[in-house]
Amino acid sequence: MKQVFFIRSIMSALLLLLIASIALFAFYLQNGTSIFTYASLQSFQPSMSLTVRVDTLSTLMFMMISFLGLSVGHYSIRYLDGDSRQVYFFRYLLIIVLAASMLALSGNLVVFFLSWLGISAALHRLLLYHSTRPAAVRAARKKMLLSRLGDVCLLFGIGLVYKVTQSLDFETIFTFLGNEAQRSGTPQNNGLMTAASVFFVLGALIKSAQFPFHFWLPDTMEAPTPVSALMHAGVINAGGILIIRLSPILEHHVAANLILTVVGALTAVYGSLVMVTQNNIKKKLAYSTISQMGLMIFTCGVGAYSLAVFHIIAHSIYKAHAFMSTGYLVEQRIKRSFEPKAIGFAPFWGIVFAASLLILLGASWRMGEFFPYCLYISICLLGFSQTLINFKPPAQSLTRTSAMVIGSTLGLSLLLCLLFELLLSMEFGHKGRIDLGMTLSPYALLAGILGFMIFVGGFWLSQKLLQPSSSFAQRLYMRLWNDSYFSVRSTALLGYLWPAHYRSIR
Amino acid sequence: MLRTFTMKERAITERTLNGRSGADLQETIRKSLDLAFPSWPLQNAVAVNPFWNFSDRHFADVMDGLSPILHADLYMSVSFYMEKYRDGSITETALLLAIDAEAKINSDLPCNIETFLDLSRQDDAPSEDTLVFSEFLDRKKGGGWGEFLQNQAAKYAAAYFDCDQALVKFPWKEKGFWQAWKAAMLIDRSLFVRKINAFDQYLSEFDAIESFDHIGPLLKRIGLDSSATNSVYFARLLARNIGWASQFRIKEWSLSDKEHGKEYLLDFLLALFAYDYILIRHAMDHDATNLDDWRQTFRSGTTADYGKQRSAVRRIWQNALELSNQRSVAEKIVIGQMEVASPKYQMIFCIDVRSEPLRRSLEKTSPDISTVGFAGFFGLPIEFVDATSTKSSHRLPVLLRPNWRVREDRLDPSVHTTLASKQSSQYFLNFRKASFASFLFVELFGIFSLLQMLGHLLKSLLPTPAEKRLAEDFGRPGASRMSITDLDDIEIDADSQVQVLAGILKHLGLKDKLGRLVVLTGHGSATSNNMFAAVLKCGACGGHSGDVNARLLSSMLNNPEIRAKLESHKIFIPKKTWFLSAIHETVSDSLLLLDEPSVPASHREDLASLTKIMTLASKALRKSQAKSRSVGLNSRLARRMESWSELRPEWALAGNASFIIAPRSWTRAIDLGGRSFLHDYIWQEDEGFSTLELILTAPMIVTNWINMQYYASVVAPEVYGAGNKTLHNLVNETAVQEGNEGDLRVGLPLQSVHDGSKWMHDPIRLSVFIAAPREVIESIVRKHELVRNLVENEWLHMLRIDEDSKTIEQRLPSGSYRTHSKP
Repeated sequence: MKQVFFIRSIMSALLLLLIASIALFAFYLQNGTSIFTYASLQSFQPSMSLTVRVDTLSTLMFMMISFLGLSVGHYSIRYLDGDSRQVYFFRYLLIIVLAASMLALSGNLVVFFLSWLGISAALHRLLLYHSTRPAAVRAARKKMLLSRLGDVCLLFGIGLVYKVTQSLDFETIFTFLGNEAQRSGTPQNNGLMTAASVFFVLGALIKSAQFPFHFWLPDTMEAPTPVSALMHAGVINAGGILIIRLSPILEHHVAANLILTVVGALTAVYGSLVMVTQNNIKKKLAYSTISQMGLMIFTCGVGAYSLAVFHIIAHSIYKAHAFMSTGYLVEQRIKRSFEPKAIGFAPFWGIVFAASLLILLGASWRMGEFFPYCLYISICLLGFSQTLINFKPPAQSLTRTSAMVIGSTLGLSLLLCLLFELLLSMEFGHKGRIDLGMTLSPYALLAGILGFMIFVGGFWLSQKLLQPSSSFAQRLYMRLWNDSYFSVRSTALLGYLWPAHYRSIR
Repeated sequence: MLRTFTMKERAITERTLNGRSGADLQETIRKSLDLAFPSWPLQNAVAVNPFWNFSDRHFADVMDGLSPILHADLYMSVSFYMEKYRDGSITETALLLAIDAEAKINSDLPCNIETFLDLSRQDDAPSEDTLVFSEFLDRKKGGGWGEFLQNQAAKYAAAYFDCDQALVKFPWKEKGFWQAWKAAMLIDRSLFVRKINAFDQYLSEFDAIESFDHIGPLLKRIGLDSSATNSVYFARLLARNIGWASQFRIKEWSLSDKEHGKEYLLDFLLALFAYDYILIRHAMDHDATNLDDWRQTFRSGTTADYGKQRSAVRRIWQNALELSNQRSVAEKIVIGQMEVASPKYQMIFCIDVRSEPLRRSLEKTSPDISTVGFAGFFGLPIEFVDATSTKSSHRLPVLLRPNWRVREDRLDPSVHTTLASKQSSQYFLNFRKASFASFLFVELFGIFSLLQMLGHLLKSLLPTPAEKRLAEDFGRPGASRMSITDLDDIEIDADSQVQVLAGILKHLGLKDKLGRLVVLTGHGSATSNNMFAAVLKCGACGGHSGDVNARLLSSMLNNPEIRAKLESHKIFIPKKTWFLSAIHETVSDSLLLLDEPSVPASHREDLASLTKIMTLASKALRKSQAKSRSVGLNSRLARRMESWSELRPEWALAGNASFIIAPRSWTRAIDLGGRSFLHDYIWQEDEGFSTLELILTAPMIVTNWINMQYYASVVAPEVYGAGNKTLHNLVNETAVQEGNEGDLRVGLPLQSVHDGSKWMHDPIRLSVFIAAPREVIESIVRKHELVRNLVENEWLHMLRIDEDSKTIEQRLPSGSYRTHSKP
C-alpha cells in the first residue's frame, strides 16, 4: 500500500513537471528568450546568480525530458510490478528527470555541472538495479570511470572560461565574448578559450558515447528495459545539450568544430556499421544510439544546431519507444510473409552517390549558409539507396508494391524538405548563428567535407559488408561484429582495478 | 492419420545408454548430448519436457544424476515444502505415506514425521565440484574466464543461426558449424586480447579434427581419459550453454528429410570443448598447478557420493506434495455419475487446463449445453498458409508431422493491398536496419514515435473492450475459402478427407449424441508487446491459436457432400445438426463465434440463445476468476490484453496438476480450479480401444511435456527457466537472452510462474486419471515404449478409476495397482 502511494506520488510529480514544461514552452512562444533570476549570490566569490534560462533549446528539452519521464514511469508501473526494487527504480527515475530538466533550464555553469553530476549519479544507481549480476556491476563501473573523466574535462573547461570571462553565467559569458569579438575584430582569438572549448567538447563526447568512449553503452543492457529506454532517450543527450548550449563559445574555435565533425562522423559511421552486424535487439539498439549520437555531434560540428536539436528529440522518442516495444518484434516476424532474397544495390547507389555529390558541391559553392543542411541531405540520400537492400517484390504485386514504395519515398522526401524549412526558421544557440548571408570559413568547409568523406567511405564499407566473401570483408565483419574488442578489452582492464569483483561468482 | 514420432526421436531414445561398461568415447560424448532438448522459436513456442531424452530412466535417478551437472537442485528447497506442510497443502497422511514408501527402499531414513522434520531442518548446500576448467579457474583465482568463454561460444551460435536480426550475415553461415567456427576463429582476436597469445597454435591442434571421432589424442593430452569423467565433463560443458544447445537441437529436429541425420549439436559441443581446451593448453604452458588442482577437484566431484540423504529428503517431500494433491482431486471425482439427457448444444474444447473453468461455467449457466474435451487441433494434420503469406505454419502438435496443406483464399480485393503492404515491409524494415538508412529513419519516422507512444499510453488507459480486440485478432473480414492439398500441392479428394473426418468423429465420441449446434472451440490469447505470446496459445496447434482448425473442421462437417460420404463410414450427421467454430480467448475468458454469418435461417434462434449462454457464462467466470485465478494480475482485464507494459497477462497453465480421462458427467459437478486437463472418454463406447490408445500416446505426452516444462521452470529457473522478462533481450528475433548474458534462456519466464512474492505453480508431476479397465491400460502401456517409459519411470502418476467399486487405484511401476485408501 505504501509502495503504491509512493509510486503514485512520483507519477503525479512527473505529470506536474510535464504540465509545467508545456506551460513554459507556451510562455516562451509568447515572450521569446528570457532569463529569470531566482537567487543572486552576490556575497560569494565568484559572484553568480541562479537563473532559469528560457529559450528554444531549454523549453524543448524540458518538454521532451518530462514527457519521456512520464511515459517511462507509466510503463514501469505495470512492467516492474511485483519486482522488489520497483520503488528504487521510481526514486531514481524522479531524480534523473529532475536533474536532466535542471540541466536543460540552468542559466549558469555551476548549476549545469551539478545537474550533470546528478544525472550521472542517479544513472549509476539505476544501472546497479540488479546489483547481484556481475555484468551489471561491471557495466556501471565502466560508465562511472568514463563519466568521471568527462566530469574532469567539463570542470577544466568551466575553470578556463571563468578565468577569461570572470563569470559563470551563460548570458554574461556570451555578452562578454560578443563584446570582445567586436572590440578586437576577430572572434575570441584566445588560446585559453580554445583550450576551454576543447575540454567542453571532450566532456560532451564522453557523455554522448562517442568513439572511442562508446564501449560502456552496449554493456548496460543488464538493467531492466525502462532503464535502457531512459538512458538511450534522455541521459545520453546531455553531451549534445552541452554543445548546443555553449555554441556561442565553441563555434569560433576551429579545433573544437573539427573534433566534433570528425569524431561525430566517425562515430556515426562506425556505430552504424557495428549495428548491422549485431544479432540481438538491445545491442543493435545500443549501437544505433551510438551512431545517431555521432550524427548529432557531427551536425553540431558543422553548425546545424537546429537540426541537432530536432535530431535529439526525434531520436529520443524513437529510441524510448523502440526499447519498450521490442515484444512486438516477435509478432512482426510472423507477419512478414515472404522469404527475402539477398540482392545488392550496386546500380542504384552509384546514381545516388553522384546526385549527392552534386548537391554538396552546388551547396558549398554559392550558398555557404545552407552548407550544413546540404551535407545532411547528401548523407540522407546515401541512406535512401539502402532501403532497397533485399527488396524484391514478386511479379504479381509489382505495381502495387512499387507504387507504395515510390509514393512513400516521395512523400517522405517532401516531409524532409518541409522539416528543413521549419528548422531553418528556428533560432538556436547564439542569436544569428545561421543567419543568411554569413560566409562559410574555409576551415569549416574543410571540416565539413572531411566529415562527408568519412561518410562516403563508410558507405563504401557498408556495401562491401553485404556480401562478405572476400578476405577483406570477412576481416571487416569480424572487427565490427566484435566492436573492435572494446568490450573484452575494457572488461579485462576493469579486472585490474577491481580484481575482487572480477570473479563471475559474487 | 497420425504419423507418430520422428525416427530421429526414436534414435535418440535408443541411443541413450543404461549401462556404462564398454562405452567407448563416441558413446560417452553422445550420451552427454541427451542434456539438450529442442526449444522452438518464440513465434511458435510450445512446451517441451526438458528431460525427454532421459525418459527411459527413473525420474528420481535423473533428478539426482543431473543435479551435480547442472549445479542446481531439481526439487524445491526444503523450506518451500515445510511451508506447504505448515499451510496444509501437504497433508500428514501423504507425508507419512511418502516416508513409508521411501523407507522401503532406503532403510537409513527415519519413519516418523518428527524425526523426518528434524532431518529436513538440517539441510546443507549442494556440492558443485564438477567444473569445466574455465569455471574452475574463476573459482580459484578469478578472471571471468567461464563467463567470457561462454559468451564467445554464444556469440558464434547467435551469428550462425541469425536470419532476421542482423542485416549483414555471418560470412561462414553456409558451412557446418564446426567448420564455420574454425574458419572465423582464425581471424577472431578476442582470445588474443585476453592474453592467450598462442591461441592460434592451440587452435591448430584441431586441424585434423573433422569430428568427435578423432578427439581421443587431444583428451589424452589434457589428461582426461576415464570415460566416466569424460561424460560428466562434456555434459557440464553443454549444461553451461544449454540454451544454445537447444537451438542446435531444434535445428536438427526441423531438418528436411533430405538432410536428415546431419549433426549440428555435436559441432557445437566440439567448439565448446575447443574453447576450454585452449584455456587448458594455455595453463599447461604457463601454470600447470592450476590444472592438476582442477583434475583433482573434477575427479572427486564425479566420484563423490552426492548427498544421498539430501535427495531422499527432497524426494519424500516431493512425493508427499504430489500425493496430497492427487488425493484432493481423487476425492472430488464423482464416479459413475450418469450423463444428462442429450443437450441441445455442444461445445468441444481443447483439453487445456484453462478450458475447465469455462466449461464448468457454461454448463452451470444452462442445462441446454454440454461440453466435450478433446485435443485442441481437433485431429486435423494440417499446415496452414494464410491468404497474405507464402510461409506455412504447422497447426498440430510438434510431435506429429502435417500431411495436409490448407490454403486460405480470401475472395475480397482488399487482400491485394494487404499483400502489397506486406511486401513493401522489407523496404521499411531496411529503414530501420540498414546502416545509413537508419539515420534517415530517425529523421523521418522518429518523431512519429511520439504518436505511437501516446497511442500506447491511451490504449493502456482506455483499452478497447475485449470483444473488439477479439474481432480484430480472430475475425476474418470478407468471404474466404480454404483449399486442402497434400504437401506437394496435389489436391486431396473428398474420400480421403472423409476418412480423416470419420476418425475424428469416432474419437470425439459424439456419434449419436449430436445436438442442434455443435461448436468447435479452439483457444488463443490476445496480448500486446509480448515476446512469449505463443506460449499462451494452443500447444496442440503448435503454438498458434486454434481458430484455423476449428473453422476448417466446422466448414467440412457442414458440407452436404461430405456428410453424405460419411454415411458410408456409418456416421450419420442428422440434418438438424449444424457445426460452428469459435475461439476461447484465455486472457479475458471470452468466446467469439467465428462463422456466425454462415448459420442457416433454421438455426438462427438456437444461435441467439447459445450466444446468450456464452456471454453469461463468460461474465460469470470472469467474476469468479477475479478472486481465484487472477491473483497477482492486473485487475483491469482489458488492460492485460491491450497494454504494452503487461508482463503477466494471464497465468496460462500454471498450476496444472492432473489429467482426467473420463466421462464429463463425473467431473461436471466439481471445481477443479483450472488445474486439470480434461479429455472426455467412455471406454464402453471405444471399439478396439483405439481412442484410448490415441489419448495415451498423443495428448498424454503433450500434457507431460507441459507439466514437465512448468516443473523444470520452477525447480531450476536458472537452468530451465527463461529468466526475468524485464531483462529480456531478443536474439535473432526468435529467442531471448537475459541482458548481455550470452546463453539463451529457454523454458518459461519468471513472470509466468511467479507473482513477485510467491510461486504460482506448485511443481508436481501430473496425475493421470483414466476410467478404463486394467487390461486395456496395461496392453497400451506394454505396446508403446514412450508411454511405458513415462509410466514405469514415474514421470507421471497413472491412476485408474474403477467404475464398479467406485474407487481409484494407483498404478505402481511393474503394473500392479494399489487402491487409494479412503481418508
